[in-house]
Amino acid sequence: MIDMMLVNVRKLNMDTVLKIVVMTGFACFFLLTMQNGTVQLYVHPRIIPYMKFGAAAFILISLVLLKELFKPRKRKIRLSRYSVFLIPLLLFLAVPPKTADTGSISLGGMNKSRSSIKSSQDLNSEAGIQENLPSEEGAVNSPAGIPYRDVPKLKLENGIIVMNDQNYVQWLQELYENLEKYDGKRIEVIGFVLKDKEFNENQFVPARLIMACCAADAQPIGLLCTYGKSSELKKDAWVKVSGTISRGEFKNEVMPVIIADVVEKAEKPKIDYLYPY
Amino acid sequence: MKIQIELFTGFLSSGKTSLINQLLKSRLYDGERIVIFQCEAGEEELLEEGTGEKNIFVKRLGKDERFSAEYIKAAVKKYMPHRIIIEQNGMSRLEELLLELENREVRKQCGINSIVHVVDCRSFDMLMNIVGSNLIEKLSESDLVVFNHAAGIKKERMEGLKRTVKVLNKSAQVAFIDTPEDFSKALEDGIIYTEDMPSFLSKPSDKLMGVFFVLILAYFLFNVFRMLNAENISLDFSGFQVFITIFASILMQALPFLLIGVLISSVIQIFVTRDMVAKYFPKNKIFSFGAAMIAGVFFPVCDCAIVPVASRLVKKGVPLPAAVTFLLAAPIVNPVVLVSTMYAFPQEPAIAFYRLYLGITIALAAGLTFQLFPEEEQVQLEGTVSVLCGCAYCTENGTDKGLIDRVTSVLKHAAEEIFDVGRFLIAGALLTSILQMAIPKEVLSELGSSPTLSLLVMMATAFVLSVCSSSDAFIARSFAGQFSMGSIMGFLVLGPMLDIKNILMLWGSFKKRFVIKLVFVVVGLSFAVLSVFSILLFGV
Repeated sequence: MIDMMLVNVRKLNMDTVLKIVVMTGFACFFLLTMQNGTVQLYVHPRIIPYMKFGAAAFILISLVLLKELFKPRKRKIRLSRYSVFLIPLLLFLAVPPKTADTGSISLGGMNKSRSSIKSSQDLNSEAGIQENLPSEEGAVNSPAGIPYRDVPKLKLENGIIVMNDQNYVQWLQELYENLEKYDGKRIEVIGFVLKDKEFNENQFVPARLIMACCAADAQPIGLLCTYGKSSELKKDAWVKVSGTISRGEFKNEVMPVIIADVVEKAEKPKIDYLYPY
Repeated sequence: MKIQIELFTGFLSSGKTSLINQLLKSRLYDGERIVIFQCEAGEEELLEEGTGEKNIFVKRLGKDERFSAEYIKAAVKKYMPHRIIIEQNGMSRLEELLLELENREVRKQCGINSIVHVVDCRSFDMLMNIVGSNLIEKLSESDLVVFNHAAGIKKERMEGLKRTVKVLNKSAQVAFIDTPEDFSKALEDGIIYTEDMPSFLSKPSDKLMGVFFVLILAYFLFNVFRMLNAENISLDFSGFQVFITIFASILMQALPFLLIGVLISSVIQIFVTRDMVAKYFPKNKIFSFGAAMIAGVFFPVCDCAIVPVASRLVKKGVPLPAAVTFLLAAPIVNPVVLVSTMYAFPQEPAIAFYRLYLGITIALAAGLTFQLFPEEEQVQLEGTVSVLCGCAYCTENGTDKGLIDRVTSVLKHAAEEIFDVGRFLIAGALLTSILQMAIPKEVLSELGSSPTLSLLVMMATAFVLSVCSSSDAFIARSFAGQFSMGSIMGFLVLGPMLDIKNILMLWGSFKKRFVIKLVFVVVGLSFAVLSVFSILLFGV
C-alpha cells in the first residue's frame, strides 16, 4: 500500500526543474520580444527596463536553484502548481502578438475615444497637474532610451498638416481645440480603416491605436473622414488619406472632419501603436 | 527493484520506535529482509524478531557516531536487504541525513520511499518554541506526519495542528493516532496514505483555473463553430491571438513588479526575525496606531505575508485594534505598491496618492471600530503556531550563516513565493483578458454606468482575483476603460486589504468570529468611504 502511494525518488528534483523551466522560460520570452521588437505590441516602452530587471532576476534565481537540482527533496510534485505558469508561457511563445483590432475594442464612435482622452486630462487638471499639451520642450526620453514622448512643435509642412507617429496625438488635440484656425487646411494622415454602425455610408475613420500601458488598454483614435467611396474601403486596411479639414458634426457635436479627395493604400507602420503618455 | 529506505524522525519519546515496531509487526513487509539503523536509543526497544518471515537486522549507533553513507553501503553488501529503516532523533538535521543518502553509490542501489515524522500532540507547542526551526524542517520534508497521543485532543485543536503542517508542506499527509496500535490498524486499513491525497482540482484556486481554461476552450470552440457555419475553411485565430496578446501584456508589466515585491519581502523574511517587529512596535494605544499606519513603509511584504506578522504582533501584546490597522494599511503603504500604481496610471499620478490616502483612512477607521467595539475573548486560535512563512528556506533562519548563504536563501525563498502568489496574478490577468474579449461592451458599460453597482462589482472582483498588491494596479488599469475611476479605486483599495487568499490566511490563525467581523467592518467602511470619495471627486 505504502509503496503504491508514494513516489520514488528521482535523480532530478522535478520540483526544481519545473521552477527553473518556468522562470527561464519567462525570462526568454521577455528577452525575445525585446530582441525582435515585438515588445512594443504588448507594452508601453516605459515598461521595458522593468522587464529587463524581471528577466535578470528570473535568471539569477534559476542559477541559484541549479544547486538544488539534485537535492533530495522528495515531495510529491504538484504539477498543477506549475502548469498554471507553463500553459500560458507556451501559448505566449507559440502565438505571435496581434494588434487588438477594432473588432475587440470598445468604441462608441468617435465621441467615446475622444472623451476618454479628454477625461483623463480633466482628471489631471483637477488634481492640479500640468497637462502635457504640445510644448516647446525637447524630447523626453524613456528610461530605455526610446523616445516615446517626443513632443515636437506642431508645424505645417508647406501649408499641409502632416500627421505622423510623433505628432499624431498632438495634432488631434490641437485640431479639436483650435478648429477655426485650421478650417480649410490640407491634411495628410495614415491610419487603418475603422467603421462603426453609427457612421454614414460615406464615413470612416483613418484610425490609430494608442497605448497607455499595454495591449489591454489599446484605444483607437482618429478624425472622422467623409469620402464618397468609403463603402469600398476594407475594414482594417491601412490607408493614406489626403483632404481638407472642415467643421463637421457627429452626434450633435462639432468636430473636425476630413473631407477626403484621395484615399490610397498605405503601408502598415512598423509599430501599430502610438504611445502618447 | 531498488532497496527502499524509510526514514522515521521524531523527538525523544514521540513514539517513533513503537511505530516502527508496529510496522514490523504488520503484514506490509512480509517476507522482506530489513535493516534498521537506530540513531538513538529511546525507552522502547526495537523488535528484533519480526513476524511473517521477516528478517530483521538492527544496527544501533552510539552517541558519538555520525550516520554516514558508509553504513548503508556496508549493510547493503552484508545483508542485501529489501528495505532499510532509519530512525533519527529529531534534534539532528534531516538535511544532513538526506545528503548522506545522496551519495552516488547509495543512490544507485537505494531510493527513499517515505519520510515519516512522529510528534506528540501534547508537546507540539513546546517543541515549536524550543526547537522551532528543527521541527519545521521535519514537517516540511515529511510525506507523513503522525500526531501521536491524540486521545482527548479537541477537534478544533487537531484542525489547527493539521493546518500548521499544511502551511509548511501542502503535500504531506497528516494522521492522528491515539496509541501505536492505531497506527498499524490505520496502515492495514490503508487509511493513512490514502486520506486526503491532494487530487487535482481539489483546491479552490485550481478549480478557478480549471473554469478559466474551460472558458478559453469554449471561446475557442465558439470561434471555430462560427467559422464553420460561415462555410469558411480557414479558421479565425485572430481573436485568440489578440486574447493571448492582451493576456501576455498584462503579465509582462505586472511580473517584474511582483518580482520586486517578492524579492524585498524575501529579504525581510530572511533577515528580520518575526520577533524583531513585535519588539519595536509600541504598545501604547495612540503610538501603536501611528506605528500601525506607517510600519508598512519599512516592512514592504505582500498582503498575504502580512497576516502572520500581524498575528505575531497580537501575541506579543500589541493592542488588537492597532494590529488590525497594521494588517490593513501595510500592503497599501508598501512603496513597491505605490510605485507600481504610478506606473500603471502614468497620466494620473494622483491615483497612487488617493490609493494611499483612502487605504490609510479605511485601515484607521477599521482599527478604531475594533477599539470602540472591542473583542471580549481572545481572537487567535489556540495553539496555532504562526509560521512566518510556509517555506523550508526560512527555517534556515536560526542557524548562523554567512551573508552569501543568506542571499541565496533570499533568492530561493523568492522562487518559492513567486509561484505561490504568481498564480493569482495569472488567474487575474486571464480573467481580465477574457472579460475584455468575451463580454459585450454594452454589458460592461451598463455596469459601469451605475456608480454603486460598479463600485460593488469592482470590489468583488478585487476580492475574488486576490492579486498581490504589488502588481494589481495593472489589472485595475485594464478595467479603466469601462469602469469609473471611483470604482477602480474600490478595486485598488479593497484588494490589498481583503481577498480570498488573505482570508484563508486569517482563517488559519484567528477565530472565525473575528475574521467575519473584520470582513464586515472592512467591506462596510470601504464601501462608505469610497462612495463618498467618488461623489466628492468625480461627481458620480
